[in-house]
Amino acid sequence: MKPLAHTYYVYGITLHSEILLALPEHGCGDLAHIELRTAPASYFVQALQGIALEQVDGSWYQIGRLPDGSSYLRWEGVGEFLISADGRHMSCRQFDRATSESFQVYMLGRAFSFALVQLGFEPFHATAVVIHGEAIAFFGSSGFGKSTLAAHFLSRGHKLLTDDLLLLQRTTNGVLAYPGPSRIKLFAKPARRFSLDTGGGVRMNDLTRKLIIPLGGGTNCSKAAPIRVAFSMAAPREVFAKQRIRLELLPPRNAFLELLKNTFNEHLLGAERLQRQFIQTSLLVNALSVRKLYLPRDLDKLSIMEIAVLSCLSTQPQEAACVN
Amino acid sequence: MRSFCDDARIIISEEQVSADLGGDAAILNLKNGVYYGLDSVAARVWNLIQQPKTFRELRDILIEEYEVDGPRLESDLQNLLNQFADQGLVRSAE
Repeated sequence: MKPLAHTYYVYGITLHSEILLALPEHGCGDLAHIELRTAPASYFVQALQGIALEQVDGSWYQIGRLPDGSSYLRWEGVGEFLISADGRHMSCRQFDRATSESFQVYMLGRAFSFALVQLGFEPFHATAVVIHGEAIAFFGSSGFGKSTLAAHFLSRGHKLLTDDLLLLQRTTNGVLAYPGPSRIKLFAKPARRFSLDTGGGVRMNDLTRKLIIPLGGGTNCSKAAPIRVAFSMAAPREVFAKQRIRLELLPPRNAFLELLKNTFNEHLLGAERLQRQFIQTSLLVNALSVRKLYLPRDLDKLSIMEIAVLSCLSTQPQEAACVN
Repeated sequence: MRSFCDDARIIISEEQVSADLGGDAAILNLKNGVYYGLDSVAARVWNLIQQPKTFRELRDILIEEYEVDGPRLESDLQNLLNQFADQGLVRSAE
């Protein structure tokens, strides 16, 4: 077995890796340890003997569940992964056509979410920024504008905590949000608007022009940050172009549903996982203030949105606020 | 719709998990993976039956807590418990 020459820290996890990754080599990783190794095509072929792969609706990856509880994922043109039943071991193979940036996005996103869930954590589909030492999270599905919001805050001098996958942990003092990889996924146009360097950006995959843009120079936060406030983004179809920006404080029951539906991993559905997810989410809801954010898809309105969001950090919660 | 008699003991299913959410509640039925939301009144009933209670005991507690006439409360309580039972969240024992 090849040695794991590299140690990285991401999402509060210590990742022991055989291969070089674009992750910090210093940080906090006391939540769990995961080992990452490469494997040849034959390894995956053998593991998948007799296993039917499922093409996930609305996406372009395939999933297979093995009898021993491990999970297999494959993206054409990117790579394949096998995650052990206990989440502590990941095997991976990057396909020839894939860039390392693209490969790492899928490995540290969807594939990693299987490991996190198997380890007992609940990753969310969310992007978080850090403002004055405090994290703010934006929950929502792909295409809801999370990364664009985050890029706006970066352009205002704040820092990215994580883009797309967010791990939260309830502590005795509140809730902590953990840092993800130092990169953001954006289309070139909004990226240029927020003065992000797209020169180093690489396309996520052949089917999209969305770029993986590395962040450096102090634009990302590599430490866990406390979080009190979260926003669940309304779907684009819920918001009209000329609608005013609206923030609606959600009662705990609605906030609970918003967080549940923004799970990053909707494939592992055993009773034990669902029960744990239920309990962990209810504990988070009772510790966070969650608002529904109705934001028209208009980059010119982001400055107004910023004011509204920042006001939630400092004041008593209001039932609903409309902002011109 | 079944009718719970006064002495019917209402017992919650073991195959569920629930959480208080600011006075409301949510339940996850572990048998079928379905989630349920309860408003504050239903959540109060759910909270009461965490320990098995007869229909009479439930009714008597609630009539003290809520400003509602007896027949209306009894009808609503029957309806709620029927919904719980239909979803496999409770069973009754005579």
